[in-house]
Amino acid sequence: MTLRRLFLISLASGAAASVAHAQAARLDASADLGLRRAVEREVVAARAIGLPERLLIAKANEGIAKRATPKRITDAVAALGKRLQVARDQLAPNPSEDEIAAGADALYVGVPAPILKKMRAAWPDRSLALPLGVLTELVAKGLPANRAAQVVTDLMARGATNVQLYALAQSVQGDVAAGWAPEAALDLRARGVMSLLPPAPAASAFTNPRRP
Amino acid sequence: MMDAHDELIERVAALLRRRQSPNPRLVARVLDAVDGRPRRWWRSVAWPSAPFTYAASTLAAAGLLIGFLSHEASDAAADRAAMAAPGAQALPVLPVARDARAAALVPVQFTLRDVRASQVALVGDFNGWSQTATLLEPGNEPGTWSVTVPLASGRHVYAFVVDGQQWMADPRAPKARDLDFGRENSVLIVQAP
Repeated sequence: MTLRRLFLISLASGAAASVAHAQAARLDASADLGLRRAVEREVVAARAIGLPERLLIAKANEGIAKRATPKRITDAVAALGKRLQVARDQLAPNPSEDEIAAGADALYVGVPAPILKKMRAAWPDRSLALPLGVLTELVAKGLPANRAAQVVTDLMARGATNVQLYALAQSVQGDVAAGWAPEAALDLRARGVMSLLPPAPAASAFTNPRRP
Repeated sequence: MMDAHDELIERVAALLRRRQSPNPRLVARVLDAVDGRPRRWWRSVAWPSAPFTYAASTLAAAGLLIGFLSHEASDAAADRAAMAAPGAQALPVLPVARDARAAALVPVQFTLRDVRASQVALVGDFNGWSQTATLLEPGNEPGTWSVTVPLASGRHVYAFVVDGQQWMADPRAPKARDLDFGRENSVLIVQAP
């Protein structure tokens, strides 16, 4: 195979990947003109402030797939745009698209916005996509948002890994499915992860921020 | 005569065998003298006695081993630093490998059993909720469907759309409430290695 042929194949692959990506970010063809225009307005507004428009189109497609009314879809897209903006700001300075989406999901289930900033402070250089997903799932399972956030951020600050956070979420999910009270499950499972981590520092930045 | 010659050869050979490592410079000088050619400077260099390819591969292997060990050691040191000072930001030795924002994708298989379905689509936040992007393939057993999709680390919500009409949460996965549209999704947390 010649070098030229390899070059052409790689060009074609790149083009195919771009087309696939573009298709994934396209509004469903069944959307009527009114909905299309309303979603387009939200997308343009999001693009103007640098938000990932792909997520807004996906939300609209979810509504279309669920046969929701255009009004409901437009409202959901607009609300997502606001959540994305808050998430992006709280996860500053340079959140990835996955992190912004995960942050918006966390806000959606009721996690207070400042928690996102605390999580960023705990892991300034690591992706928060999984910790935010774990927190979202814990809250979605019925745990109070502040309590779940405190546990997750404490674990992150103590050096817990993604694997441990993932295991925590899985265990709590299983316990709740088995009939345990969510808070009891979280306390027990968090204690299990804590026992694997090094001793807590003298002052925790999350529990007592003003303590010397 | 023959025996005496053989004995002499044997004695010389034994003498040479006793010399563990002949001086290469001496060998070069002897060979030059035998050949009657002038000495060249590069003949005095002590090249490895083994074939060069062997020596090079040994050196390369040693280099790789040293590199691997130093990488492991630096990883372990970074881990120790992170463990010793929780919350403190340790400077990563390999920032791209350890802290890449673009997480590795994990192949996840989605399966459904529905004997009445003639087409099943997977829709979720990972494919923009597109009903045409990810179709499940029928399995050998009638009514079984599956598809494997690479997913990024994090929480994902998804569902199946059967025959282009029927919305169906994954019966084998936890559910996620949908406050926007009122139809529940399934939820999945993916953890990249």
